[in-house]
Amino acid sequence: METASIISPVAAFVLSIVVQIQTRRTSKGEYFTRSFLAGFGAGLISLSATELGIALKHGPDAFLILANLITYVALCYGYFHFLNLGETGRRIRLLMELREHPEGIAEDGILALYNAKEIIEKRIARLRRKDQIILENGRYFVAKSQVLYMSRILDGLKLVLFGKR
Amino acid sequence: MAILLSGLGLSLAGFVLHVIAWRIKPPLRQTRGLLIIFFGSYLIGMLFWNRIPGAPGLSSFAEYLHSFLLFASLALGYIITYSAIEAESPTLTMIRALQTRGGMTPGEFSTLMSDEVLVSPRLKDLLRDGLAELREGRYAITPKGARFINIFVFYRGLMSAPKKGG
Repeated sequence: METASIISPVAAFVLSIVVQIQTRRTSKGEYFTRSFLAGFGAGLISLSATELGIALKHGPDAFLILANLITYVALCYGYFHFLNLGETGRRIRLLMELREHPEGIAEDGILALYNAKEIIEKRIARLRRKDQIILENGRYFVAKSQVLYMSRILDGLKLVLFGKR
Repeated sequence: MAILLSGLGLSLAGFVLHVIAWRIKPPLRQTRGLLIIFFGSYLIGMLFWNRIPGAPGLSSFAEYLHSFLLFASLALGYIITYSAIEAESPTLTMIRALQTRGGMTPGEFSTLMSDEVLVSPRLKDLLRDGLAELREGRYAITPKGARFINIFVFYRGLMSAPKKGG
């Protein structure tokens, strides 16, 4: 039981990665969030099936099931941030530019390749695509609250860590 | 129950120590500091876990491993979230500004977030973390930086994602 119970969230996580990659490949690199959700859902089904099997064979242990559920969700959460880092991380993008110029680039040259204008435009496009902001009379406004909530959670964490926002 | 309690309890202990350490003075290399604090508190906590009065004991290697898996997934999930605090996410800054100001034009975003705010500090981070170095006034990738970025290049290729994000 112990071995199966340890493997259960890891196997579900591996399955979620495989499904996520395959879904994203099928969409030719589009569907960032959808591919993640497809993988997460597939892994969750796998985890539920394994936990059910273990419970039927050895009797249910609610604490172990909860531990495995938390482990699976935390692994997927970390994976989502890893994917997001590749998608939006500024340091990652800067390193990609430097990788293409092993001889080195001056700061002006870097800014010609990647700059605040592009960063802002890409984020506005993403936020509009996800209906988080809307454009009315030439001004952007917050439309949905998900990103705003995320921002408030991080503000709260900053308050705890630094005593200020 | 021992697996759940030890995994959650020692994650919480790591978080509390992290808050105390950051309130005193955040380290220069914050990710490394977080890894040391979280995994250090887990190791120390595990040495004494079975001696805590009333705590359900861990007995087999498999139980210790299971507890570690729960702890590590939580700790790494937090540490990767922390990068959004450390490097002030532009998306969150934009949303916060929109909410505070009650709407903004595209031009106002540019005034709020310039190259000096969005790009230059990240270049300094690359130098600080040894991922890039300055060679005669030019930024160049280091072998450590190349190894690090190759993971993302490979992974984005695997997903057929556009070569460059940002």
